[in-house]
Amino acid sequence: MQVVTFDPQQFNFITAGESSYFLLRLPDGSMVLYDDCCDHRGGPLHLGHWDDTRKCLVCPWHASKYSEKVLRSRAIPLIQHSGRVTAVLDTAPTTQIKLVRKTILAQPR
Amino acid sequence: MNDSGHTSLPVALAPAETAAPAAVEHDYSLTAVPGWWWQPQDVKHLIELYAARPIFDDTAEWLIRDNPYRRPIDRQSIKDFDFSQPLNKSAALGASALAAHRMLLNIYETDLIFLPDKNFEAKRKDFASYYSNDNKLLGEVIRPTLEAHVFDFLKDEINVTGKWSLEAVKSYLQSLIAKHEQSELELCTAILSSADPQRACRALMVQLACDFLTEASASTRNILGKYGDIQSEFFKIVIDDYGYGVHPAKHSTLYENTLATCGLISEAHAYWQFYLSSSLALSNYYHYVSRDHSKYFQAIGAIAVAESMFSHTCHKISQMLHAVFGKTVDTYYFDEHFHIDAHHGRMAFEHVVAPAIERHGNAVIPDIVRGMEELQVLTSLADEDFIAQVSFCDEAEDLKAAGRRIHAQILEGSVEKPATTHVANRSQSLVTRVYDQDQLYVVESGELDLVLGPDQTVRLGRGEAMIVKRERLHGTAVVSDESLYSVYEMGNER
Repeated sequence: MQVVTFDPQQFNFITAGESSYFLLRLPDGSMVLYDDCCDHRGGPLHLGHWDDTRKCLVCPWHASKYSEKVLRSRAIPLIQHSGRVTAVLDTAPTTQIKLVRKTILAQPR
Repeated sequence: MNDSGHTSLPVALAPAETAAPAAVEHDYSLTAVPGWWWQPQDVKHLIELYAARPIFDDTAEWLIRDNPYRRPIDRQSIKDFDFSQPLNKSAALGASALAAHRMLLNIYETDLIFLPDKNFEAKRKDFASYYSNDNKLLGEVIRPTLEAHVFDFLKDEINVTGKWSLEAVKSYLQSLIAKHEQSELELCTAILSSADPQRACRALMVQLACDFLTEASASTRNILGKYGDIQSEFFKIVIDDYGYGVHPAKHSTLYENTLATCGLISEAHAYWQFYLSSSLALSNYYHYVSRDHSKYFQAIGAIAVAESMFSHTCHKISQMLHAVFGKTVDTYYFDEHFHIDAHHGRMAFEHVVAPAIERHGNAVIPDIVRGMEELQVLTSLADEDFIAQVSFCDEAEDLKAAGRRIHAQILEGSVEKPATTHVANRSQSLVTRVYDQDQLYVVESGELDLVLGPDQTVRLGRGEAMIVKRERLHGTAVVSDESLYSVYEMGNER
């Protein structure tokens, strides 16, 4: 496992080897770090959209839906503290980790 | 057979359908907290009543010798505070926080036994008052309001999300320990670079005395009850702290020896007046999460992180004590913790936290991680507060010079600040306080002492002035037969 701490204002996307994760701020203000790869066919979830009516994230490829409950229960272990976030990634210690800033289209407005 | 003389079996085994008819549902949780029975204005009145209890009144001396029941709150200021709203982090060292933390420690510690070293009979009235039902009941009614006031900001400060596992918690804790062990302690750096390292070092020992002289008392709240082998493992950590019943080995006894060789008093809460808000907050936090057993998992998270990090902290403090006081200082308290807390950190995680997760499921992890984080937030706050106080004490002469300059500007009319003027006789009752804004003290006649610590006093004579920075603990005492002095509110400009 690797533990990474960063400023969520500066970075909102992590690549760890072949995997990638995006930071999503939920309507109540809490954040989740979620696997960017849709369970269905691997669509890039950060390019999905937030359905305000159904309170869920929608995959841009085949409209698979991820409720807040699912996002919270399956997200990467994350701690928000004093304006920073710490994530615990289930990767080998040698896996290269990169922090990136991207446009998260799935972000609830 | 139970104590009532009846056999308990028929009652215990009575089938549900033969039980009394279903009662009307009440949400009893609502009736037990302020907001239902007790409106905020009622609680404020009760807080004022609590603070007005004679044992919490101002004292005649700055040091409270051998009377653990005398714990000033500053009742004169209480009426100005609004305890009904949670403070945010930026106000966590302010005036209302200090008052709330003083009251909370008073409330929590009525569950502990304190006895003076000598002359109990002379203090018996205070003893009876401190442990009286009146004091305890009043404290219980105001406690939730005070806890929300000073601890609710932690809920906003920290958020734990995601699918946690035992391995993730372990990795996270290891990363915290690794980072901590690579760090120089800012506390120690500040003391060593202080204008008066011995004074600064004694100031740290005073802050630590708030917790260390009753070490592990809050944790004992979690050793009673019945929760399996984890309970026994937790108990092992606590009995180490209590020296296995051997008084010279009890950790608080070791700390008394350290205090003595630093030239300090080791009576419980002798330095009550000089505890910073953040030091009280740390002591109170352990009680807060250990007294309310719904916060049990937070408590073990906090204890796991504290035990894991304390070893390195103690190593650094021991080195610093030797650097400041030489060979004469007794550092065994810190040396013992450098050794034993390496074990306690492992024991707290492997034998308490990990089994708790394995037995009670991953759903308890967010509470455990929250406890780890909350303690770190409060520890950082305590470090910042202490370093700011050391800096304030070091700058006393500069603050006098700055005070003179600003007072001159006020007199010539180029600066305007609101002021209150006091005419006071020689001080008979003393209490330390902090203000939420910088203050300028100006003495018009007589003499006024500004007390910045147990061994630092700045005397202001006629025409002299000094700035006291916001959130910096200090006391004032008129030391002439009479004094006329003004206090200007300077705002928070830096």
